[in-house]
Amino acid sequence: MRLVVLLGLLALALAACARVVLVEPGRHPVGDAFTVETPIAWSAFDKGKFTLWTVDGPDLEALRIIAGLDDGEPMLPAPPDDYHGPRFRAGMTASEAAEFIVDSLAAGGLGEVVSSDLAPAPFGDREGFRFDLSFRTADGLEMKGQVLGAVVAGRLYALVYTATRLHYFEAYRAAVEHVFASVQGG
Amino acid sequence: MRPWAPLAAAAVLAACAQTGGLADIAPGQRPPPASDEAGLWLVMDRVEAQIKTSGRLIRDPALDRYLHGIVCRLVPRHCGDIRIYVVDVPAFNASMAPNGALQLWGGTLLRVHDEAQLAYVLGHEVGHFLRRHSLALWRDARSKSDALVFVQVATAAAGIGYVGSVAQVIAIGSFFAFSRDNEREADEIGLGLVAAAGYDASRAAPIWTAMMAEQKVLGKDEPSLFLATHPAGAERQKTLAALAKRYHGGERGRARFLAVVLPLRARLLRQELRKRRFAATELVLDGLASDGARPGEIAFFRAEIRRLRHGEGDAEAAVTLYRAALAGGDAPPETYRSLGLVLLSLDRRKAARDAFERYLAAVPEAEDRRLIERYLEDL
Repeated sequence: MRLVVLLGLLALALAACARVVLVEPGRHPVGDAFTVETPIAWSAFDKGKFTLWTVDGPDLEALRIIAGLDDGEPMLPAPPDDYHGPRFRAGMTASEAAEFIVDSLAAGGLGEVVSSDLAPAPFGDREGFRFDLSFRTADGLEMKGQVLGAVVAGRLYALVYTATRLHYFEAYRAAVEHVFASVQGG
Repeated sequence: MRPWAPLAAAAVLAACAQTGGLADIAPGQRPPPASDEAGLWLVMDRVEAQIKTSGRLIRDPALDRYLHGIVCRLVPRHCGDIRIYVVDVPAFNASMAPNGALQLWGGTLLRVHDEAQLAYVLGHEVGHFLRRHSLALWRDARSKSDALVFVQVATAAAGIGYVGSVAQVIAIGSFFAFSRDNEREADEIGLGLVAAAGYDASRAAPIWTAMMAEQKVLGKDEPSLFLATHPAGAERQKTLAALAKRYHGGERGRARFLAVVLPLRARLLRQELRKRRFAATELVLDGLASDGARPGEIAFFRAEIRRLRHGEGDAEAAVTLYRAALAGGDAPPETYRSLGLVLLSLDRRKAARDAFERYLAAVPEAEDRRLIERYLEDL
């Protein structure tokens, strides 16, 4: 379990348990606190606090939306009973929340997970954080990512964009930046 | 190598030969193309091709050269037959495929403390290779009509079954769950090779003592893969201790081991922390602390356990340990950042500010500089 790639697991869990719906360009809710606007259409898998948007498939590119993780919850939609990995803590600083996201990805089986350019960033009208990611899948595929997050009222909200370093990351980066900049509410 | 080593090595290899109906593999030998063994190698060649490109490999040429050098010292004539892959999994494990692909998990490098212990781990796996245990296992499975299960495991590991990912290769931990007799035999061969190569054979048994202690704190919920595939730890520890009495002297090779592993240690410990198995990581740190190398780094990771665990009294304990780490002189510069974060959580703002300022002074190009500067604006 601990060695299964978290992103793949998340995708499988979402695919197995959730209906795929079309997300049209426009504004959409992120949990019960925020909304975002997308300039392009996505296929969406929705499972509670975890939503996955993708165009070409989650192995190639995906925007994962974490909508209000509570104290003690892991970054997994359906953690197994014997889950021992990282858990969110309500009092986390931005540094610690970013560390939680990175450690969750690494503990899930991704290789060479490195974060960079961790900086303050607006999350709607709240102060959040953002950082870049690079990692390899277990099969060796080079990936890049960008994360925008915030701890609001003790809950973690995050948009996690990951895509293959070749082609797909750049292909949807502008759309993702638009989504990042569009966060409203809170 | 000690003067008597070549003779002893020859004796060990001679003792290995032609037992259980299978001759030991000869240097450079590949199985005949039409044989069942060739089929087994073909599957494992495909597994190995996946491992080579895996994102979970620790790619460190100095480490690779070092490990290969140890194997060459153990079995010079098979030096070219064995390839070693260090997989970035924070636990103790090693496995050997029949084609000579040896997989060593990164966590092993934190749980052995000198070259003699590392040589035992590698020597044990070499023992499986020399004795062709996987072929024996394959034929045994086939004779018991378990071949389908075996093939499923093997093809899943190769990425050609329904599982289809190198992640499963790593997750399986060992390509083959050898029998207790095979393990005992591999121990005997490995320890003989270790002694013949001039290493201190008495260093092997303590590895099992430590592994059993770690298993105890991990609990039944999370059994060690190594122990799961290498049964009867207590028995192995006793057997190894008894076997080691056959040999005398030998070197530990601690300086060489540290020269290669110390530069990697912080990275390996960070991976340990990411599992959040704090009690087990504390035991690993206890073992490393007894080595005496880089006490500041050890104190830093002890503090990190407390910062991440965030239990009652952990924050204060972390502050004390971070300060001890900094006093030790070999703490990583991010010690200041972690200290600042814990002080912030304790609302000790002035001390937090001082820690963050020291962090930015120590790491002017810090990747999180802008966020730390933001904290400083509020302090």
